[in-house]
Amino acid sequence: MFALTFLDREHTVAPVGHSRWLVPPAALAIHLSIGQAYAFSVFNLPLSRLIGGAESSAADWRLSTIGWVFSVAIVFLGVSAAVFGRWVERVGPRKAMFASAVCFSGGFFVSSVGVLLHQFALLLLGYGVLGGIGLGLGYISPVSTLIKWYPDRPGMATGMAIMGFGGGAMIASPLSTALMGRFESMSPHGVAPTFAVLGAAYFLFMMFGVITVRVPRDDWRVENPSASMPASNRAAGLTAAEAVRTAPFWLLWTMLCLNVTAGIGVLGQASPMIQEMFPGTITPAAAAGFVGLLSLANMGGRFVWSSLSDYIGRRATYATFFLLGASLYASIPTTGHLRNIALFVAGYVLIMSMYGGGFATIPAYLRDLFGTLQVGAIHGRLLTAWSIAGVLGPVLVNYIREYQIARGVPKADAYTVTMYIMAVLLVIGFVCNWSVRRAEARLRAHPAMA
Amino acid sequence: MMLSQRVRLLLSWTLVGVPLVWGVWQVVKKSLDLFR
Repeated sequence: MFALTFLDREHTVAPVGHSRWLVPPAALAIHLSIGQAYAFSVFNLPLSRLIGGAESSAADWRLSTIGWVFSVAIVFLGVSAAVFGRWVERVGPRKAMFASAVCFSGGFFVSSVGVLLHQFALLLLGYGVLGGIGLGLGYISPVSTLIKWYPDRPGMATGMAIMGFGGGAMIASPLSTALMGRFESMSPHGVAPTFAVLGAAYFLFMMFGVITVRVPRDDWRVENPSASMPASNRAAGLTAAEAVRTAPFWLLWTMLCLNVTAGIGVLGQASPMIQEMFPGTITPAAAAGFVGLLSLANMGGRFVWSSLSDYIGRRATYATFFLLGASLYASIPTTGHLRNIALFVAGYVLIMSMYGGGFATIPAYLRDLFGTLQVGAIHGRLLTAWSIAGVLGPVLVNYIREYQIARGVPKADAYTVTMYIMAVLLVIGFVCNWSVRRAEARLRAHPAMA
Repeated sequence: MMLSQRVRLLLSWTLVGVPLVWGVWQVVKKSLDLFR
């Protein structure tokens, strides 16, 4: 009984003198765990050779089939964040984090059984559906809590947590590879026991976040607030239902969708792209290094850009993403033709930092526009843009590349049109960001915002 | 009370910081191939 009440919001209210710097590690424990999703591809090849062994056999799952597991997980991330957003706001971060831990680690256990029985439906249901729900709940659960603890620096606070989502893959990828090697003698490629161990390890790690997370008391204030920032967050603003009926919500939705579309497709194709654009110069090992650099930029950008947004403002930050991003995408084909690898890499590092920055800065932008009343739920609904972009981005990059090659365009030039399309998408994003300014004036007239 | 909070801060940040730094280092090691 105590275990259940322990999860209630009332039991998470911080005592007097509680340091707010104890809250980001709790959020990071969740995001570092669920960030594993970005590293799921390390299982793709082993999962496609469970029966054949060294090579795939006819009875094995095809790579294209296995690819659906990640796609379904990302779709369920967006859907569950949207559906359970209000529930997360109501029950508080601890119960939501616990539900996330149960779903995410439970997904691994179900998947482990699915691999043992070679039942793809179980793998899809486990990691894709159950794990995806865990991803969505975990992603939004600490956001509104952090915003309430850091009214003076909401960008930095949420950036810190969302940076963890970017960093999670960096831990999960080498860890999964090492575990599969360790368990190889027990089962084909060691996948099933690795899933089980990861499920248990992530559950324990996420429980650290569950136990240590706290919400501020109603009368809590920042001790030394800066003159320009509020010392506390009044629980004022629009509800999620009200927010989705406003133009700024859909402008932000479109901005996130466009920013993610432009980044995610390139991130997925980074290794073949740099090898094809610099044939004979970039080895597969160097291409893997390039992918690693992009992951670092993606992670670092989440913290740096969102922290910067506390000083220069959310609108200026997004304007930078869209204008600088569009210029960089438009110049990438030229750096390819010039065969200037350093410029090419630097350009992509900057692009990926802004891709991550776009994710991390959006909760603070939502708080600025809609207040803190249901910012977590509003963020959850906005994340459906990620689900759409997760499908749109890779499709744009892959299909346009294949179409170009089929028309006889050399592989080194097959990405040129895609880069220009990405630049155009970001210019549209800039226009949306600009339009928020005008729509915001009408939003301020809403009675709940008074 | 304050000391125990300091210890908790240290432990909390270490618990999340160590795996994160380890993961970043793994990526940095791999990325060095790009510049060799």
